[in-house]
Formats: sequence, C-alpha cells, structure tokens
Amino acid sequence: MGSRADAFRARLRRLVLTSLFGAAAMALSYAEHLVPLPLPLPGVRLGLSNIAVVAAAAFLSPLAGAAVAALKILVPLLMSGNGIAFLFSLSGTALSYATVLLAGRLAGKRISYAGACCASAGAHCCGQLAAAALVAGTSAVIGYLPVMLAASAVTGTATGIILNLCAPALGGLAEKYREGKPL
Amino acid sequence: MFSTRFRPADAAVPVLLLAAALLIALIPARAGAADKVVVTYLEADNNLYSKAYGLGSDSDFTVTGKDGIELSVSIRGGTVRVTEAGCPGRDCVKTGEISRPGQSIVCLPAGILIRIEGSGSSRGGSDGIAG
Repeated sequence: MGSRADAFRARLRRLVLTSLFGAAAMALSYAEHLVPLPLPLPGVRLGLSNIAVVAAAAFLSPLAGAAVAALKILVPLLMSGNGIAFLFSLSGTALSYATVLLAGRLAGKRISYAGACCASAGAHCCGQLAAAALVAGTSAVIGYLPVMLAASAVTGTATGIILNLCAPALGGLAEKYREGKPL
Repeated sequence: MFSTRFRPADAAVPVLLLAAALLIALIPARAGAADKVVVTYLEADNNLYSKAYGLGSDSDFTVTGKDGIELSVSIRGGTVRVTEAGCPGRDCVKTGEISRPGQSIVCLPAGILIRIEGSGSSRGGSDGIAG
C-alpha cells in the first residue's frame, strides 16, 4: 500500500485515540458528579477528568492533551449552557494544563504523576479563583484560596496516584494503538 | 512524561501547596480596612447629614439625632455597634454588631442610619455566585 494510505491510517488512529481519552474525561467528570464529596466545601471536587487530560498529554502528545482539555471545557458548556461555570473551567483548565506541560519539561521523570497532578490541581484552583475574582469584581474571593489549595493538595495527589497505577496499562495501550497492532 | 513510581520530589508538591495555603491564610486579614462606616442622621432642622468613619480604626463617637436623642457608637476591630441610646426602645443597641458592607443599624426615633459601605469594587458586588 502507498504511504498516503499509511499516513491516513496513522491520522485516523490518532483521532480515534484522542477521542477515546476525551470520552474518558467526560465519563470521569460525570462519575464525579454522581458521588459528591462528603465535605461542606463548595467548589472542591476530586478532579477525576484531569486524569484523562494528563494521560493524553503523557501517552499521546501535548497537542492531544490540549484537545482533551478543550473538550473537557467545551462539552459541559454545550450541555448546560452555564457561562460562569465555563469561564471558571476555562481559566482553571488552561492554567492547570500549562502547569502539567511545564512540570513535564522541568521535572520530567524526577517526579511521578502524583506530584504532577498535585501541581496541576493547585494551578486549577488559582485559575478558577482568578476568574471568580474577575466575575465578582472583588479580590475578596482570594480568601477562599487557602481552602482550595489545601484541598487540591489532597485531591491532586489522589488523582495522581490513580494515574501512577494506571500508567503502565495506559502506556501499553497507547503504544499498541500507535503501532497499529490489535489490542 | 512522568515517573509512575513515587519520587521524593513528589512529596514536595503537596507540601508546597499546603505551605502556600497557610501563608495566604496567615496574611493579616485586613478585612474592612478600607470600608467606611457612614452615619446618616436627621437633625432638628429636618436636613440630612452624613459623616464617614473608617471601619479599620477603632473609635467611639456620639451622634445626636432628632429630638436630641443621642447614640453612642463604638467601632472595635472592624465591627460597629451602638453601646448606648437615649431612646426608649433601644432597638439599635439590640441590633448588636455589624461588620460587613451593606449591613446597617437603624434608630427610627432619632432618625439615624449607621451603614457600612464597601470600598471600591466591593460596593454593590454580588452576594454569591453559583457555578
């Protein structure tokens, strides 16, 4: 077969794989809504869908990770039409994803997914509160930052540990797909 | 991209986050430092007057309203309350402490309104935002 068909297949595989991670992000965020945390802290979530974003960045490519992050921001907007939540999600996810890429560049294998997700969760709350400060027109919301940061230290580590455990399997899966092998 | 096993540096990230949280929480809450206590009162000449006091600095003052009724107001550590009132009902004293922008203490017999006004952007801000 010609190389054009091969290139097409490779592109198709990439598209399908990225979409799979995107679907995983949606499913994880839905699952998260089903199980509310027994904490009296508004806005504190586990951030499970970040697992799919970080995994896509790590096992596919930074661009694929960005695509999954964009899906994670846009799909809830299409489904709920909640502009404020979209704004919070946009700023939080953008900052969080930039932090993941930066951590990958700076620390790489010196940290595990636990550290990376933790940093990413911290960045997510900073981004969200920055948007909240803009929307509310007051810097008073920064008073909530310590609560969010402390919570993100826990939730980020938790999602990171999940990713640490899933990484070998996910990495193998991504490798097989990329090489065009059957599962 | 990252290791799949715990690295010593992993512990540093949550520790840093917690340290940052503690640091921000410990920044002295200059809550209301820029907020003002505005006292509006009706004088014997039937005109409205108003005076502003800083909520951030402790002070005591008296306001004389209609019919010569006098209120003693005390600002302490960002909270305002009326300590003494020359009216029979003393509703203003019973109102207790106020500390947040938008809250007020009213004395109807004397025609006195004590209100906390937020500074700058917090004025007329939202009470809450649901995500």
